[in-house]
Amino acid sequence: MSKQHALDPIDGYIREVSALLPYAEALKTPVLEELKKDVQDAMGTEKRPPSVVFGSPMEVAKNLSIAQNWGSTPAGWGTRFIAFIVDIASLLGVFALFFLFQLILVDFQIDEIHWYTMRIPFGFLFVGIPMVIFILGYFIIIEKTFSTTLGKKLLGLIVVDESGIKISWNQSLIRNFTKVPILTSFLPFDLLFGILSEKTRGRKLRVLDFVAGTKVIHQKRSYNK
Amino acid sequence: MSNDLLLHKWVTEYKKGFSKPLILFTLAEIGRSYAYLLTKKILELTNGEISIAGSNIYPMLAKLEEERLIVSQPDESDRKFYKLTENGKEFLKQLEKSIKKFNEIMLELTNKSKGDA
Repeated sequence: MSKQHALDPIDGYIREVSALLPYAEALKTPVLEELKKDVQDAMGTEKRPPSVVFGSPMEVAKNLSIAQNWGSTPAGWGTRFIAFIVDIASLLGVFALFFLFQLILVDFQIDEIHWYTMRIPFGFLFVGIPMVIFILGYFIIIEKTFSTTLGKKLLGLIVVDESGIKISWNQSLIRNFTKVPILTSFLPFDLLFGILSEKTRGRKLRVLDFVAGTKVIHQKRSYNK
Repeated sequence: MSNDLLLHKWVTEYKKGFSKPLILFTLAEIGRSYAYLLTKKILELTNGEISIAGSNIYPMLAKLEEERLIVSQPDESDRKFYKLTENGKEFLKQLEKSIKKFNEIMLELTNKSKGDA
C-alpha cells in the first residue's frame, strides 16, 4: 500500500475501484465522485477499512459497471477481425525489427557472450528469448495490462469481464489460448463455434470468451446518463 | 448442510427478492434519498432485519430507473437523489395489493401446515 493510501484510505479505496474499471476518465469521474460521497457517509467514525465497511473494490467496481451499463455494447465480428489483422501486422513489424537486430549482430560479428564457463549466443539472448516471450505473451500480457491491444485500441474496443470490469490473468490466459502461435489453428473453430452456438451467438463471444467469462465491447467515452 | 444453515440460505434468498420493493416502499416513506441514505433507512425501517450491503444498491437503483419507477436528480451539492415517479407511485399501490394477497396465502398455508403437523 502506498503512503497516500495510508494517509487517506477512502481516496486509496476509490483509486483501487477505478483501476478495475477500464473506461475513460470522463466516464468514470462523476460516478466515482458519487461513490466517494457514499463511502465517506458509510465510513463515518468507522475504524475498519472501507473494503470491510463498503465491500471489496472488485465487488464495488462490478456493481458500478452493471449499474452504469458500461459493458453492454458487444463489438461486432467484422470490427474485431480488422483489429486482429492490425495486431498481426504490428506483430510482424516487431518480428522484422528483431531480425534486423539479429542481422546487425551478425554484421558486427557479435556472436556470443561468456558467462562463467558458458558461451551464450548473443542472438539467442537478445533476439530469440524476447521474441518467444513476445509471441507467446503479446495478447495475454497486453490485454491483461491495458484491457486492449493496438488493433483494438485503434478501433475503440476493450476486453472486459462479464460484469464489465478489468480481466484477470487467468481470464486473459484462457481467452487468448488460441492466439498463441502453435495453437492458432484452433482459432477458426473457437470463432466458428462462437458464431454458431446459441449460448454465444447473440452476445458475440468466441467459445474461449464464454469459458473465460470475458467479452469485447465498444468503449464508451463520455458520461451520458 | 445443517437445517440452520439451510434456513439461513433460504431466508437470505427471499429477503433478496424483496430488495427492490423495499427500495420503493422506503422512498414512498421518506420522499427522496441518495443511495447510501436509502440503505440506512431500509435497515432502520426493517428493524435491522434487512440490509442492502454497500454498493449492491447501485444496480437495483439503475434497474428501477430504467423501469421508470424512480427518477434521479442532482441536488445543489451535485449529489444524486432518487424519488418515486408518478408511475412508480401507481405501481407501488398495485404491488402493495399483490404483496398483501401473497402474505394472506402464505399465512393461510403456514396455519394449515401447523394444523396438519
